[in-house]
Parts: sequence; C-alpha cells; structure tokens
Amino acid sequence: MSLIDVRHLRVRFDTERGPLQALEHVSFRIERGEMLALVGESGSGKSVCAQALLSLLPRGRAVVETGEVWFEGRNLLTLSERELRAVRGARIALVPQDPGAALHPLFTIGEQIVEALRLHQELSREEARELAAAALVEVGVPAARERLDAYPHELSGGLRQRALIAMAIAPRPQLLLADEPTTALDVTVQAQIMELLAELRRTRELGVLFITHDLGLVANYADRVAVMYAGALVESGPTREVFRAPAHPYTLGLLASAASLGQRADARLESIAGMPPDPLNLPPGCAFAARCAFAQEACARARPPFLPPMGLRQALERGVELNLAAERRVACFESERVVSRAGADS
Amino acid sequence: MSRFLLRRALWFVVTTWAVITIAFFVLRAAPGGPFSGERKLHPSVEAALRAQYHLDWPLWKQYLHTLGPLNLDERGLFGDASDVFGGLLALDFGPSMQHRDVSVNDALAQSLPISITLGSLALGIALVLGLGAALLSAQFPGSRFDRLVRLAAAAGLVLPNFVIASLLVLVFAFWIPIAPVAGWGAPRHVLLPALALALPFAAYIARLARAGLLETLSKDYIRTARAKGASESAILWRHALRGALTPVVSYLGPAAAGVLTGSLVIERIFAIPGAGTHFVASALNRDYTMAMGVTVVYAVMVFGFNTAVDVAYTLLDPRLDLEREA
Amino acid sequence: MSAVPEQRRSWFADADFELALVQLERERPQSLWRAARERLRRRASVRWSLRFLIGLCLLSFLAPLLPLPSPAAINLANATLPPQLPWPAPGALDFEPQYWELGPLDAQMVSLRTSLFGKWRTGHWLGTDALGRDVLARVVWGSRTSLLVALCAALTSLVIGASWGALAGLSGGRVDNVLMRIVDVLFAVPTIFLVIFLLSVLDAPGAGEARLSREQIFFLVVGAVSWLSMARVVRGQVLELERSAFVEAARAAGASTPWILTRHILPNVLGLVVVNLTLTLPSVILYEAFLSFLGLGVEPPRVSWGLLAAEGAEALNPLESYAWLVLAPGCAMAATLLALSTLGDGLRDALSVTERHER
Ligand SMILES: Nc1ncnc2c1ncn2[C@@H]1O[C@H](COP(=O)(O)OP(=O)(O)O)[C@@H](O)[C@H]1O
Ligand SMILES: [Mg+2]
Repeated sequence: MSLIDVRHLRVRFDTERGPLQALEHVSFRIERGEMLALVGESGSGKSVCAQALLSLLPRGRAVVETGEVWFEGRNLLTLSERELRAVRGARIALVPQDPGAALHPLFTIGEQIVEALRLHQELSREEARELAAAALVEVGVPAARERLDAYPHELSGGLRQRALIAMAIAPRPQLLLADEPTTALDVTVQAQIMELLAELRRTRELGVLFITHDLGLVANYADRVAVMYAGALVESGPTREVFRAPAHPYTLGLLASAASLGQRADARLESIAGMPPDPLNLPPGCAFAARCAFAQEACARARPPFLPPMGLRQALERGVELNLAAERRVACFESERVVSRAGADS
Repeated sequence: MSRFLLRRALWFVVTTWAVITIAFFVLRAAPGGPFSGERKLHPSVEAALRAQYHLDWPLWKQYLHTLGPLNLDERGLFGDASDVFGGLLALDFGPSMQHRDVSVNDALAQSLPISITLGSLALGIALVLGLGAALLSAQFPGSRFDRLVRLAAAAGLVLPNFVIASLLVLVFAFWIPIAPVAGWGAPRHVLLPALALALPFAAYIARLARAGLLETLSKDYIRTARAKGASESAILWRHALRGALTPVVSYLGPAAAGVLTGSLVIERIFAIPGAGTHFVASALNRDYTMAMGVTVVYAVMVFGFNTAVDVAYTLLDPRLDLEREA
Repeated sequence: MSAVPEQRRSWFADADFELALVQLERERPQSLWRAARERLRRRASVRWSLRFLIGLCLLSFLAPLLPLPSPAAINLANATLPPQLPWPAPGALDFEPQYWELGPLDAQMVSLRTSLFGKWRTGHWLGTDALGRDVLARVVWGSRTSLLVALCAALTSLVIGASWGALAGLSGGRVDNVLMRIVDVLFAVPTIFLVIFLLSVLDAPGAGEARLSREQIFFLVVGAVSWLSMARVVRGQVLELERSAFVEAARAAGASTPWILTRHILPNVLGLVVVNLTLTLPSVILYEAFLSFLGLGVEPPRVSWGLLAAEGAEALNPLESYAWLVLAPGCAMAATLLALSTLGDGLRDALSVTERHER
C-alpha cells in the first residue's frame, strides 16, 4: 500500500473576481521512502496541492470540491480538526514555501522548533531544546545552539529555510511535503539538504513530495516526477523515463529551456513563450494549447484526459484495453508526436 | 536601550521647552489678561495686581521669570536677589492668578491624582473590553457575536462622550438606578464616569485588534503553526494575539492623550473635582500661571506615555531597534 | 514583462518582482479607480450610506425652505414638550420668521418659504426644549453648522496636512526630519489650548472690518489643529510607495521620476487621502461637539448638533430626564457618523486592490 494516495483532488477558490479553479483532478501516490518531484510554473497550483493534503487552505475561501487523500488507512479530508492535528507535523510535515514569511517574526527559532516538538511528544523544555539544536545541526546550520535564540529577521534567507526544514523533520514525520525547500540555498547547502533527505528516506523510510523549479535536482534525486500546469497534472512518471522521452509539450519545453540555460541551479521555468492562462477563466480545452507548438484544432475544444501516453489513440483506433495501472501518464492528445519529436531532437 | 532613553530624555527637554515657549507666547498674545475679567477693577488696584505678578515687566523678562529660578528684580537680570522666584526649572508654577490664595502646584496636587485615577481606570477598562471583544469576535468571524461587536464598536465611535455619558446616566441612574449620578470619593462613584470615558476607546481598540487579528491570522506563519499541529486556541492566543497587539499598543499613546481631553468633559458631567476644570477655566480667564501649569503637565504626561509605549513596542516586537529608531 | 530591458532581467530572480511587473502592466491606476467604483457599488451598506448622506446634505441645505417652526422662536408656554406619537397633524398656523442674522441666500429661501407656506408649520414632532423651541427644527438647522464645520475643517486639514506630509516624504533626509519633529512637538501641545487662543485672537473685538464670523474662525481653527495625523499618514504612504516593488520595478524599467510620481505615487496617495478625509469628517464633527460642550462652539442662538447635544446633556437632572433633548441630536449625529465611517471603510477596502491582490 502506498504511503499516501491522492485521488481526484479538485480545489476551488472563491475570490472577489469569481471562482478560481486551483486544482483540477489531481491524483498521485507516494511510496514509503520515495521522492516524488512536483514541478511547474509559479501559480500552477503546487503549493495549493501541498496545503490541501493537510487541509491547510484558508477556510471559507477555498473549497475542496472532490477528492480523497488516503494516508495510513484514513481519508485525511474526512478527519475532524482534532484528528487532523495529530497528523499535522507528527505524521506529515510541511516545509512551507517562502522562508521570509513562514516563520513567526516575534518568536525565536528555538521557540518555534520546540513548539513543533512539544505539540506531539511528551518532552521537557530542555529536552526539546536539545532535539531542536540537533535538528539544526542536521540541516547544516553552523553554531546551531546560538541560532536557537535568534529571531528570524536576524538570519539570512538560507538559514531561515534550513530552520524551517529542521522544524519539519524534528518531530520525525513519515511524509514530508517540501515546498520549494532549496530556493534560498546555495548549491553546496542544497546538495547537503538533498543528501540529508536521501538518508532520511533510507533510514526512516521517509516519503517526500518535493516541490521545486530545479530540474537538475529532480534529475539527480527524485524517483518520480509529476508536472503541473494550470492546476492539473499534465505528465507523470519515473524521472528517468519522463526526462528521456517527455510526452507532453509543456514538459518538453521545460526540459529544453533548462538545457539551454545550461542546467543553471536557478533555471526559471517561465522561459516558455507566452503567459500561463488566467486562472479565473481557463479555456475549455487544453490549458496549454495557446502556447503549444503541437496544438491541433481539437486541443482547444476538449480537455485531454490524463492517461498512459499513446493510450487514448490506441484505445480508440485499435480497441486496445487502457493500462490504467501504468505509472506513466500524460494529458495530451498529441503525445505520440511529442515523443517522436523529442526523440528526434536528442 | 539606555542610549534610546538618553536620546528620549534629550528630546523631552527640547519638546517641553518648545511647548512652554509656544504656550507662553500664545497666552500673552491672546487679547485680555487675568485681571480684565467680569468685575471691573479700579485702575490703581489692577496696576498693583499687575505689579505683584510682574505683568508690568517686559515680555522677555516675564519669559525668563516663568522659565526658571533666576535672580531677577526691577532692574533686570542679575539683580540683587530680592526676587528669586521658583519658575518651571524648579518645578514651581507660582501662584494662580485667578484664585490668588492658591498656588498652581497645590491646585494640581489636589486635582491631578483624581484625574489620573479616572484616566488610568478608563484606559484599563478600554483595553480589557476592547481586546476581549476582539478576541472573541476574531475567533468566530462572521458569527452573530462578531456582528454585535462590530455594531457596538461602530456605535462607540459615532457619539461624543458626553452623549454616551448621558445615555449611561439615563440607563443606570434613572431607569435602573444602580449607580450615583455625580460625586467623588467612594469606589461606586467611579463606575459610570470611567465607563463613559472608556467606551469610545474600547470601541476603537476592539476595531483595531479585530482587524489586526484577522490580518495576522491570514499570514503565512499562522499556516506554519497550523501545519505543526497547533490548536486553534493556541494559534489565536499564542501566535496571532502578539502580532495584533502592536497596533493596539501604538494606539495607546494617542488614546492616553484622548482620555486626558475626554476627562475634561466627563469630570464636568459627573461633577468630579479633577484637573479638567482648570484646563478650560484657566485658558478662558487668562490665568497665565495655571494655564502654563496644566499645559506642561499635559505635555509631560503625553510624552512620558509615548515613551513607555515605544518601550513596550520593542518588547513586543524584536524586529524594532530602539537605538536606530531614536 | 516586455517593459524590462533585456540586460535588467537577470536580477529579477525574485518572484515578487515579476508579479509586480505583471501588475504594472495589468493594473493601470485608471483601472484601479474603476475597479474601486465597482467594488463600492456592490456593497449595500455603502450604497445606503451614500444615499443617506446625499439626502442629509439636501435636507440641511434646503432647511430654510421647509415648513418647520423657527429654530430660534422661544415660546415658554410650550417648554419641554415631549415628542408625541402619533405625530400631530401639522395644524398650527403661528409661524413667525425668527432667525439669527442669515446670509443672503438663506434669507431669500426663508422669504420663499413664507410665500409658499405662509404661517403654516409642522407640529413639535420631536418635542421642544426648555425654552419651547422646536427640537426638530433645531436639529435640521444644526446639521448645517455641523456639516459645514466638518467639510471646511477637513479640507483645511487636508490642504495643510497633505502638503506637509508629501513635502516631508518626497524630500526625505534633513527636511523630512525637521518637518516631522515639528509635528511631534505640536502633538504634545494640548490642542484645546490652541483652539481657545486662536478663537480669542481671531475673535477679538479689535480685529475690526476684516473680522471673520465665529463659524468661519471655527472652521479654520479646527482644521488647523487636526492636520497633524494627515501629515503623518501621507508621509508614511509616500515613503512606503517609494520603496515598494511596484515603483522599484518601474524605475528599473527606466521610468522617469515625474512619470512615477503621476502614474504610481499620486493615484495611490490620493486614494489614501480620500479615505483619510472621510474618516476625518467624523472626528471633526465629534470635535465640534466637544468644543460646544465646553462652551467654545457656535454662539447661541445659532445651533449645531454639538450644541444641541450639550444642552440636552446639561438638561438631564435628577428629577426629570428630558431624554429626547439628548437623544434627538445624538441619533442624528450617530446616523451621520455611521454613514460617513461606513463610506470611509468601504472606500479604504475598495481602494486597496493592489494590497489584496492574491498570489
Ligand atoms: N488564498 C488564495 N486565495 C485565492 N487564490 C489563491 C490563494 N492561494 C493561491 N491561490 C491561487 O491558486 C493558484 C495556485 O497558486 P500556488 O499553489 O501558490 O502556485 P505555485 O505553483 O506557485 O505554488 C494561483 O493562481 C493563485 O492565484
Ligand atoms: Mg508555491
């Protein structure tokens, strides 16, 4: 059984300017000890996805329309607030995105990590402080003990980010939702954090949802990758397969732009021509069609289903059974052409 | 911190001096004088009185005389030490020009404690009522209680405090008689005036704190706390309240000044022998010494309170650096 | 994003920056105001407040035309009549025009009223005061003073405060420091003193021909003492805007200073000033009431809401409450101030579009 199994998650925000479909039928699984990378442009819904798993979306504004999140035999979306609290932090921890805003400015780093520990374990203040210092050492914070008494504004962005990671792993969760945990770090520290996560995956069987822009890190560390565009997954599969033969034009574009930038650590994903669609009024068909070099007329009319690559056409033309258990999936009518084009290129 | 306090002390001297100077010259520039009141005095009597209070001196000399213990006499500065008068530097405001047998110091010593008691009580009530209402209302935004709080807060801000006082008197003294209408001495005398004085400020604090709480609750770090598994009440009391307190604390400075002015009205309505009466009467009667006394006391209190607020502010928010702010 | 020269792009590694740039293109100041108007229109409370305020302004402007009793007509036989329900039919035919010195326009309106309605007048719907004067008429006439004081004083405070604050914020450095220190010192002076002295200086009998009326003096004085917070608010906003990602992005894109001033700083400050103005109006009305209570407001027989409420509050005595004397002007004031602050809050929410823009 998977560590976490997310099925058909749909999330809508009710904004002043109308409903905003932030997640559209998002499904994925993470096994014990596995790292799933979630990549996509800013605003594509990655953070919303991570927050939705723990029901952390702003109440009243965000509506989870459909979906199940199976974790340790329970659907997290049906738990009571009280049951959820026992899961949050203790079983599933979140490393929030923006380290500048995610730490409470009025409490010291130590106080915040100690709180995370003492919420779930019977610990004295001193014991918790010890553990907090140990966690800071683990994520490579120099002079960890003094840092415990520092306020967030006294630390650099990189240190804050590491404090957030320390805060998440200190209570020894089983699943880590890491939302862009390495953006503020320099390359050596990045590698150190990734190695730490790799070790935790081995020793504690920690599962990781790794949200990032850095395709280099994905290639080196993630077991599988899922690509998100405008709130929907457009492609997923084992990292090696997806990187070797991307089946969605968006993935293709991402990889091409990352390659042309020489795999720079901060390779931005925005360099595909055109702008993402306005999330407030998504087009009826494929959301990527307007920027897509492969787009046909049909793409603008209907949303392509998320299926094994080439599965749909085969199913239609040859009457072949769809392999719905396949790990590799893509949401594109033209995936066959994309794959062959990509193959020709390389 | 000590550097901050030192600079503040310096500013205190400068501000007080500026206030004294402004008050002095504005007072003298206003037409009329302390002895040109209703009863027309005989010219010789008036001249004698003016001489007694040195109002016949040139203005610069009167100014120095007011400022400090200086050795002055008819011939000017550095006289024969026959008139070494207290002055502000010696914390001596001199005799009142209206009530000639009372010194300003005595009058203030008698009335100020009353005003301060009333004022601090009102501030305390305002804080407790305002914060309490805001906390409850932010816990259940949109609920019936929340709407009630917002309505009450709006109502508290749209009525002059003497109308609020009259309404309180109407309700609690006439219709449900449980509190006395006027007087001072027993604790029950304080109830209505302190409440009437406090309500507008309570309303404003409730608004500020509610808005602050709701804003803080939408911050990223609150989500971090939730992700850690903190309970809603812990989030409200531990994580959100501290952030929401800063605007309230910074409002306490103006609020204290407002309570001081508000007490002018409240003391009059409830016949409380506080310092408020001196404020208006001294200015209207051109009681130069008394007016100077209340002005200085007011400025000092406002300044002191603002400094205290700034210190409290840094205790609340480690990001602020007093050394730099000063 | 096209607005950014290519060589500058490299240091926009920050997502905030890119958002600011996108906003720069999408949210032009004009559309900010248009969006604000849309948001305002959608709020029922704002709509009702606006209607109420417009109605009130009309009512108070047209007060001399209405068939009300004279606000200054004393009739001791009718002293302290309580309001009667149901309202008596307007049957009395004893209207005598008794006013204080009216301006030419008001005098014309009064004579028009006499020719329209003759001696016919409404009954004492809201009761009468201790001198038998009609409370309703006094409240309606009082609204003229109170609204006018509020408008003039708020405008005075706007002119002084906004230019002071903008000067400080834009010039920065030493000038800023000196200007704001002056504001600090003035904050420590009890305004009530300044008011009393300004009033008595300007109102001195010796001032001769050029003497302003008590109301005009009053407007100036109240405005002159309430500009301090406006100065602080405007300065703060100017400084904040200068530092904002918005303006920085525009600057990086090569925009000139005047362009930034007119396109970005001015529209944003303007919003704040409008909001602060609607919130200053209530405080000025309250201040007028405060001064009236201390006997420093308009001179009887003229009326203002503050004066009426103060008279009502003084009329409370242990034997007889005469509640309507304080309730009538109190309710008028409360309704007006509530409408004003609802409008102000609505404006503030509507104009802070850029702040609320979700990422
Ligand atoms: N609290 C919110 N209210 C309204 N819309 C939101 C909110 N949070 C996120 N969104 C919208 O959801 C979409 C996805 O955002 P997000 O998950 O933060 O993107 P990213 O992939 O960069 O993490 C965006 O269009 C954003 O505008
Ligand atoms: Mg994100």
